[in-house]
Amino acid sequence: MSTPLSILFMDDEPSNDIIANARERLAEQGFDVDFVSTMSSAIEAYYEKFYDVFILDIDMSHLPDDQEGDGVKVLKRFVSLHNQTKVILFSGAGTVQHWFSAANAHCFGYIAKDQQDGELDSIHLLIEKIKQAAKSTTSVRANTSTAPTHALLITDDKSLATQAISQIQSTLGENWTNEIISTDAWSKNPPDSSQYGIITCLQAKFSTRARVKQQLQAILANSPAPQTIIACDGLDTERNSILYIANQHPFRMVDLQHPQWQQSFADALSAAVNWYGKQEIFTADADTLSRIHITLPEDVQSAGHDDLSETDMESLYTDYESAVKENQDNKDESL
Amino acid sequence: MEKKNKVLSEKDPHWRSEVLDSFTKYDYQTSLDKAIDYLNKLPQRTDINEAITESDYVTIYYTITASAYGILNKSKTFDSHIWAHFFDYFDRYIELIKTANKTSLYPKNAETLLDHALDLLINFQPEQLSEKAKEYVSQMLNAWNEQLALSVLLKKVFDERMDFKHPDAMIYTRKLAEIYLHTAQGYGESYHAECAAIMNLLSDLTYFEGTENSEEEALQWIEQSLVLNSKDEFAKRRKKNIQDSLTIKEQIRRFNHDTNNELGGLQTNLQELKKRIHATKSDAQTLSFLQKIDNSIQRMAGIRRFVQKQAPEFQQIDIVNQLIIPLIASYQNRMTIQVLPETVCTWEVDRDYLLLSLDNLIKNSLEAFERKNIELTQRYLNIKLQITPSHLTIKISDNAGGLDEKLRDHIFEKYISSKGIKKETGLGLSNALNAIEQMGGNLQLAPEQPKNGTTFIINLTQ
Repeated sequence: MSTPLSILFMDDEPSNDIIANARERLAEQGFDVDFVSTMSSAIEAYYEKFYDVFILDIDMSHLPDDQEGDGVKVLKRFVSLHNQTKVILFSGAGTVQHWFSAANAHCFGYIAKDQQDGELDSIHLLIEKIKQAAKSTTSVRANTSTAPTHALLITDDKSLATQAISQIQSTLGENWTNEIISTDAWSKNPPDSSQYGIITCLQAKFSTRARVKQQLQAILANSPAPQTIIACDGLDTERNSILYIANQHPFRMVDLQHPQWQQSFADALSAAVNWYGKQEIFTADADTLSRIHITLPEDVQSAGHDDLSETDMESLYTDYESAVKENQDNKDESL
Repeated sequence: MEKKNKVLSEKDPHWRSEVLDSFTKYDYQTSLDKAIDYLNKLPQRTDINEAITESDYVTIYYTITASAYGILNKSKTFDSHIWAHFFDYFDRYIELIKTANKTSLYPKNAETLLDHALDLLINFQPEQLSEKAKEYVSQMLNAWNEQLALSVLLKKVFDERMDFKHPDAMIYTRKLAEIYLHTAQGYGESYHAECAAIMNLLSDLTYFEGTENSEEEALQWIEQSLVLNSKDEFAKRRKKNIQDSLTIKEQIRRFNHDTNNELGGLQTNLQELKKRIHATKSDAQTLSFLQKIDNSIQRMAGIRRFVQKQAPEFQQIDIVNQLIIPLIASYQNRMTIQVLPETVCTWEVDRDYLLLSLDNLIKNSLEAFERKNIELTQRYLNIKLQITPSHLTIKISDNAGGLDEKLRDHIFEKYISSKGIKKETGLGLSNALNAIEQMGGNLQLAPEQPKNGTTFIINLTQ
């Protein structure tokens, strides 16, 4: 018998119906679920046990031990702590910025608590996502023998195309060629994506129609090789399609509603070149870690758990640092 | 001794004939050239130069400056040469009146020149308006007094506010208003009423800019205005209105946020309940209640998404069996509804949006039946579906008497209703249309209407 999937579930409203139901149904699935409601207990749990999946809410602003935290920050922190754990956001409070930041911090999934797929409720969607996470292997692919020099731009919007091409040319430089294709032409005859180093897809809105979803899924299927950047309008009204894209693991999502989206697009392109064919690993945020470092022992004591000594914490911290050093080529990405 | 009030044209007929005549005839190019020429030759005019006083120089500078303005204002084109003349002599004018005996000068002229200077900035150098207008106002304020300078500026603020034709008038109004407040600040209570009026104006401007924080900013201006003029009933009422609007927004925001969690909880609780009930052998009635709760929650979620203007969530459904049949069940005892064909008709739609639209159309018919006192047995509503590979057409026809001709062209507009003003909100058909359009389809009145009823057509594409 295989070991059950281990899950760390963090939410600051444990008495909420949806959380109570979710815990029960995850347990019914046979998952090994540990529930925490504070950041320090999450860190403590992490220190003691490996988790396959970490589920957390975006609305972590009133966590007593981490005033500055929200789910996306926590997400980045945990991706930096342990790259093997898949992080799924399960939230009722996310904003447009959260959806984009979460995708860009490489959440494995993002499920809104009021989301539904036909008759299926959000907990069902969460369980599906967890199962998907269990199957997925982290593929840190080696660079291909030759450096990629082809980019593909998928768009139907002429004005967006012009702006994107100018960024692609100035960011990627003369060595790169860029091909443009309409979404229609792409879906009728999808080119072999392995010939491209970067695929960009810009469109104001993506519909939730099955054929559009299939297209997006196909475009994103091979990420991180090629790295795929999707740009669309960051609007509240487009939540479902934005979350759909975020759940397909793009390398970057760019919000076209942002006044400086061209800059974000250019940043995404240069990050994609640096990270070609590899998973992006965030470097630990020393400031945040030191903050947790300071707050942790008190919380642990007051919660009546075993003491986590200063030395333990120091070694934990040194671990991060050495992990960072090992990944010398890992660029510190800010959102 | 010379009479104090003898003006230049009385002292020197040349000034009148050479300069003033063309100036009063609006021939500003001539008056400008001749006035400069007159000024240059004055030292040689031994016949008169002893009689020339400071105030005569003020008159000459005024004439040159006003002529330069006249040229620029008439031609509406920028001319750097004329522009330079204006500001060169404006400066000299200011410099001179600083020390001159004000009793021999016309305050009206000083006002006019300051007004002209502001006007030129607005028309030719708007990007420098904030900086330069502040400078000229403060020069005039030092040279004459604050009362004169501020009254010109105040008038200019409201003139700009009324300049409806200029696309940037609101921007200039705001800039001038800010300079007014900045300048008047130093003079204490004497200008409180004016400042309060300007703050009210800024509050309105900010409010109608409609930016994200415009209401909060508008409220701040009104509050500042009330500090200066606490008895302003207009401002009090305005403050209350903005606060109410902000409160409503905040309540909606909270409602949205709180119902997110509640609805999520409700949906998952229902799943649990269903699982338990289905596990036991429950009677048909229990299952029917469960189904009703399920439908209600589903519709509530749909209405909520619709009100939030959420993009549609498409899914393949059997339109007749999964959507229309359950929907009409709730109307069956109030009219006879027939659906054709009753076969499977699968289409990709946002289930909730189509439901919302159809529900509004049926409700519309029901209300017409009731309004016209049509007997239950005589009420018929037909729903006909036609399907091709690319199109789905749904025709909804009733025999409820038909539409008033006058309403036909406005039937989908908000708050238009045949039910009489204010009785209902009149959003039903507008929402029905909106929900279909969100899915990329259309809803219209059929080109051919039945004799004694109404037919609507919904078109959806794949």
